[in-house]
Amino acid sequence: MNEAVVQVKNLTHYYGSKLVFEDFNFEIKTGSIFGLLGKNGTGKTTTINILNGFLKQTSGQCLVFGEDSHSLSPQTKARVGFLIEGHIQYSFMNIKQIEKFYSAFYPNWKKEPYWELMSKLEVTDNQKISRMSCGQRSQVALGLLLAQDPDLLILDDYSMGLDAGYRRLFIDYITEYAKAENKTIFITSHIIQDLEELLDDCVIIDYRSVLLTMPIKKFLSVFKLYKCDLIDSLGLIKKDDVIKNVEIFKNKVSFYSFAEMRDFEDHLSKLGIKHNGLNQIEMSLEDAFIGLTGKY
Amino acid sequence: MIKSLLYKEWLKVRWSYIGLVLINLIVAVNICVSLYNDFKFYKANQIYDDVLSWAYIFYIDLMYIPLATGLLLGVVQFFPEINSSRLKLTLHLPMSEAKSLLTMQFYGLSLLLILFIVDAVIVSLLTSSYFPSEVVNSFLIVSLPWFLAGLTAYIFISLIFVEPSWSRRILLAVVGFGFVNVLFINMIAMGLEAIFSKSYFYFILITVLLTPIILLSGYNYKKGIR
Repeated sequence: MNEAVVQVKNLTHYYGSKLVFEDFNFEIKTGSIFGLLGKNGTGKTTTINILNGFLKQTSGQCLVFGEDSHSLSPQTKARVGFLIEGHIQYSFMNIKQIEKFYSAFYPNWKKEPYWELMSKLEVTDNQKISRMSCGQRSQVALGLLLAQDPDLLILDDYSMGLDAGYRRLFIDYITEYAKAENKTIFITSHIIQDLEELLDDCVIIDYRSVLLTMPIKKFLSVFKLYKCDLIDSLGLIKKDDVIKNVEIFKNKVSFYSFAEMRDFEDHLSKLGIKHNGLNQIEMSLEDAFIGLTGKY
Repeated sequence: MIKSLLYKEWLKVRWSYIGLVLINLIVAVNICVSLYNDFKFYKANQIYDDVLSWAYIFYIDLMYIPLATGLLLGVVQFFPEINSSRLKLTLHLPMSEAKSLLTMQFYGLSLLLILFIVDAVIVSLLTSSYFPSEVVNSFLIVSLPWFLAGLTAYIFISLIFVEPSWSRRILLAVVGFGFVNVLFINMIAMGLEAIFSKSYFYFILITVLLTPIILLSGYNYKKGIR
């Protein structure tokens, strides 16, 4: 049950001389929903491309169901559903043609979830995909993935171009799909708030490095936001091992830290930072993500 | 799976292909009508003299049609694959990537071959109704490089679209342009003597050997070379 579906070992990638990430490691366990979170340009799509064998990494190893991602067998590819960023599909086909086309490739093809989604769109069977809205195209792509019934679903920024309704619909179906036995999902999105209820584990990446890899619930419980008013100590505040990030607005300051309240207070005292009313604030996943990676 | 892949290719090119078939037929019919009018308005021995002694190529309108057909079919078939990285969808299908790419290319070449054979049959039948078999043979051999140019142009377009590296794309475009040019220059320079040219064999051989290069371009695409 806990065998790794995806194993990324010491992955390093350069575009020319520009380092994207170095010694990137993570594993995705069978049956888990794993999020790859990072700001724009940190290497999320690069990672997905390597994982799907569409980019050869500079060094390191990437295994999908135990096979090198760059030379996946047809049998393994049949077990992997892949959503390309922007919900790209064969737009010259209509919704009937595309279902007919894909069904021949996948032995476990289940057309019901596809047609269920299509019935919600109120389009005719002859509706060409190129003439659909971005939201409708996302439902076509999702329906095809669900019909494929893959063991591993890789979703590259499913939320791109979608309004709140379509995002919610997407997440609802993905949640339902994930409930099925041994289904694994690897997901990236730039809208972090949608993922809070969905993800089991996450890896958060920043430019050139991995910031953390851990279960989402643990991340939200160990990463803390402290707020207080400063008393003439502005010059003393800087990031260190305890203060992971800091935001200052006039005399109000927000600290992000993995330290417990008492340890954090001691740390501020050691630094000579005088403050009033230090208290811990509950954070959403998006708050925690911004707290860890910064706004810029 | 192959059948389904061919279905995708057909959906992609069908309207354009039907348009190309019509254009080819219009040109072929136009050659028929022109020759019919020549025989109607001029003396037959004068036309025979022009064709046999002065190498009058009454089917010259056909010259660049296969080339244009090959180029257009290549664009129509491969541009949608590259546009928005749809080739990733094709290469992610649970079948050998080499088989996918070669099937796509084989399909396009088959469509072109069918069309070119129809062109050749129409003009051959027309020629045989007015001229002796030597003129039919000369038509077939004079027009062979035109049809080869169409197939070669198609192959190079497919390579250029699948190849991800711009420098290699430019190199392929230059080599393709040169190769197609040689096919036409050869005919123009040698005229009907080209009928006996052994170089045709090599042109056909090179055209056949060019097809698997798409696997190299596909490999480069998968490596993410830019």
